[in-house]
Amino acid sequence: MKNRKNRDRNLTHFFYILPNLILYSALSITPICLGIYYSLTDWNGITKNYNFVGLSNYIKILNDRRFHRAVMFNLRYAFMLIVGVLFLSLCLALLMNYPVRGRSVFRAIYFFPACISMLTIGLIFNYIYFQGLPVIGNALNIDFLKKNILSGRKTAIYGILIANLWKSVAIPTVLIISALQTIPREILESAVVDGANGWQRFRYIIIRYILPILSIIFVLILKEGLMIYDYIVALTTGGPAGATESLTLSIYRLGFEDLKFGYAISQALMIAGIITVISVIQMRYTDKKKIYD
Amino acid sequence: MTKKKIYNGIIFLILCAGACAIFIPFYLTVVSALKNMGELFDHFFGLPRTVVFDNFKYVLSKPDYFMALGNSCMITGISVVFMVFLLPMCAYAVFRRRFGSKFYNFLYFFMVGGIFIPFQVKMLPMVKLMSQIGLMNRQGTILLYIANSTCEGIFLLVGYLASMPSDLEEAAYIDGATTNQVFYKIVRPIMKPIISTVVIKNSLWIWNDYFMPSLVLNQSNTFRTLTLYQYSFKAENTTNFTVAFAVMVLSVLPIFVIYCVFQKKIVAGMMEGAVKG
Repeated sequence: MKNRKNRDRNLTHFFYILPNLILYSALSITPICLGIYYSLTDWNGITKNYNFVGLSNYIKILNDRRFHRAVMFNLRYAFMLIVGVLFLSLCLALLMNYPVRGRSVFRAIYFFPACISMLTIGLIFNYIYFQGLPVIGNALNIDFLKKNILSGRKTAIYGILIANLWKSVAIPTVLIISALQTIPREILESAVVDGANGWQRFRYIIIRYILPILSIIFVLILKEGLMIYDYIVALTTGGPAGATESLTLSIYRLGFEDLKFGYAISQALMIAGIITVISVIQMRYTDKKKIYD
Repeated sequence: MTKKKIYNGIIFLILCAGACAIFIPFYLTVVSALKNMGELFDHFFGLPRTVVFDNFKYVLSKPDYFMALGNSCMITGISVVFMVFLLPMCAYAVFRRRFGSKFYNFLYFFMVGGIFIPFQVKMLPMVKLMSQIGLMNRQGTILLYIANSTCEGIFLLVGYLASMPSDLEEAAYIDGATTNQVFYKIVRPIMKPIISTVVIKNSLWIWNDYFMPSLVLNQSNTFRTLTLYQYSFKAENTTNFTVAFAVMVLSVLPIFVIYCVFQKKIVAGMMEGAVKG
């Protein structure tokens, strides 16, 4: 009797995992394995024949100027994005933590951009840069606003950054607000009694309580910055003259347009290595946060 | 007291300015969609002198928008329904068996480990694979979304179950319940809050996603999702700005309505998903 029951349970549990296991193995794990194999070949993605070239793709990456440019772009972009998001969301969260009238309305408004597609935001900003900014630039006689900022080699990255910030500040802000609300009131009140000013309270009390969430946000935004794709497609498609070609876009183009399929995958794997390290760090921080709870 | 009031007033004003910064792009989008081309060039920022609905009429007179809307609804809806059905089952079995069986423990790490692998690594071979097995269509996209939701879904759901004792289930087994009954009558109701997080996060992800459809669905116009439609519309109508703005308004509208209704739930779900995912 008990045996039959156990067998029934085993079988049912096995059927519970089966659909996900099959789909995940076939459509997620198989491509990764195939990718590792292709990265060792010189396949162009179309022909039947290709040669096994060993690690030479990976060696080629080290001297690839296009790859270096894309890496530099992504690092610069990720850095600016992190600084921008952390600063803006921290300010907004501290302000919204005050009992101001209409706080929940503000929260609702600030959060809405998080729900819209990155592509839509990119396209809307693209039109605004194209149509709106030159109008302001001409009216106020500001030189760098007179032409579309996306058309300048140096300024295009800021155009992308602004659109990205506009959306990406939302979730961190709400996260920081909820972290701020975990700070016990007595501590802040006794600090006021002891004569600590606003900056001291922030520096010695508030920052300690929100540090775990700030580190999570840091890693999330870092990953977002390194994998940026949709905004670039919507705003500059990598231009002008490749100045805003991100890693993802460069891999996509190498693989599907320049017919260097194997080489493109080896680049992707290199970046995967970097992002994996970052993700592991993120997981460890998240675990630490649980201990504090 | 008055000092505090001034303080609050300043903060209120700063927050209002921030809200304006959020609001202006939407304002420009809506206003531009209601202008004709001449007016758009004359004064971009002002309200329309004469409100014209021609842009919306033009977009809605063609089947493209409705086709894209239908595709987006279908792909998002079916993927999420499958996720809601499959992920809790899988997570429960993995969670209950993990510490008794090496196979299930391996499965847990096998599935959750995928979180670390960025999408870029998969994308090129994935497209080749999909085209080889003839799944460069809506069905294929749905399967890809389900497959790609596994890692994070299992991670979130198993994490949520971690605190659940097995007493209730054991009692139900002794009373003669089958495994299916135990799962659907006892475990699944407990998982409801985290399932709603999974639903919110994945619906928004799939609805807003551009990358995956652009890889898999770019073969035919009839398969286009809303994001693909917006992009190709821009590419095809490089000079017709007012109509493009109308397309933007129509694309943001569904999300806006849903956000107004479920705002609290969406904020909570996205936050939970962001920290743990």
